[in-house]
Amino acid sequence: MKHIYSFLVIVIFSFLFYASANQPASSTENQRIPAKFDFSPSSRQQVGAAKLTVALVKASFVGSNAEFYVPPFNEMANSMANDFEELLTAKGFTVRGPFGSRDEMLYGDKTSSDFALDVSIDLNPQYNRKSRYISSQMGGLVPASYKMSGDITLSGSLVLSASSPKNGEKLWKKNIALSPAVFNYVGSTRWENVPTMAGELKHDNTLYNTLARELEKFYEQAMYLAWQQIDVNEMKEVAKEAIKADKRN
Amino acid sequence: MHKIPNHLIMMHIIMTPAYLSRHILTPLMVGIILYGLFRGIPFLAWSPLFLAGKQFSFFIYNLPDALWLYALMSSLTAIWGEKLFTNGRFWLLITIVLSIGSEIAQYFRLIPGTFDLWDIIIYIATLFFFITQSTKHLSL
Repeated sequence: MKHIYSFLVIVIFSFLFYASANQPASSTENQRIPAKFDFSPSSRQQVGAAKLTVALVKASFVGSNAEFYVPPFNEMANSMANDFEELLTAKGFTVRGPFGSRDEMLYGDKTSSDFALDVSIDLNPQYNRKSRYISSQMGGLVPASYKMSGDITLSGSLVLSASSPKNGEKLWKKNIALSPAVFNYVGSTRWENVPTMAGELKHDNTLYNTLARELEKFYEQAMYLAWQQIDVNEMKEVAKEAIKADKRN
Repeated sequence: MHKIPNHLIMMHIIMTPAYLSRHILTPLMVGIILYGLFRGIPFLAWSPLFLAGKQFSFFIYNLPDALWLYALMSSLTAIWGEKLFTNGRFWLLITIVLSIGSEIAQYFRLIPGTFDLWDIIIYIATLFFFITQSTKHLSL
């Protein structure tokens, strides 16, 4: 009888342990908190009040760093494309697009737009990464691994450029310098080999969360300055120049 | 007058409500409460009520397992009494092998779950604590 009781007790407790082992982690350290890149204009003009149509080209990063194609960097670029559309609409412009590039614009889009606006994020992230080697434990049962940490410096600018819609002649350019940010991180993932920055961002939620919070500040600053820098009267002059430039070519 | 056998006296002591409450129900419930509050209970569709930082990970991830292991071994004590380390040692051994073996199996991805070296350390510590407590209760 005691054997049956013992068996039953172990089975019941095994369910507890099994449930515990299958539980996803929920500590704030390991949970990916998605980046919130959002901008709301402080005032709104009537739609089309500026009587100017802008062909908006999607925001993109300058350079081809691998990490620009993974979150939170690519999320930042995607959100910027949407928020620029909102910003321009709030300023009274009529917006066409956003287009992946000026080449993606159809002839009709080119002829009905006063100018094309290109948004480039010239971010120059500097990484000073360190890997800590953790030797194997328990006689090799737990293999050797690496843990990553380091300093990241974000600096750069947001480059806005307006060009003639048909021929793409550059007519106006604003370089909005952004305040640099320096911060450090201590990764939470154990790696078999030293990872690339893009790989680390994909799999290490602690690094993602740290970088995402810094990029959110960067984004807010960039959008606020862009809101201040885009002036409807100035853009009307650019539109006149664009017509001349396209006629000339 | 008949003399009451020694092992029945022991069973009587072990099966007291005080023993059941202190050594089985309390660790069992504390483990479940810690779990429920900080990690949720998907089986009951409960979400965690609190999110804790890494500095509390021992209390959330390791302590419940240790408390449950202690409650399990105490349950075996309640069943076997002073014969736990003789006639009941097979079940005690099964408990130790299953708890530590499950972590090793998780490491090799033979069963689902996340391997944690601290779990193994805490299981061994719990085992020593249990033996210490048992020597008190079972007069070994």
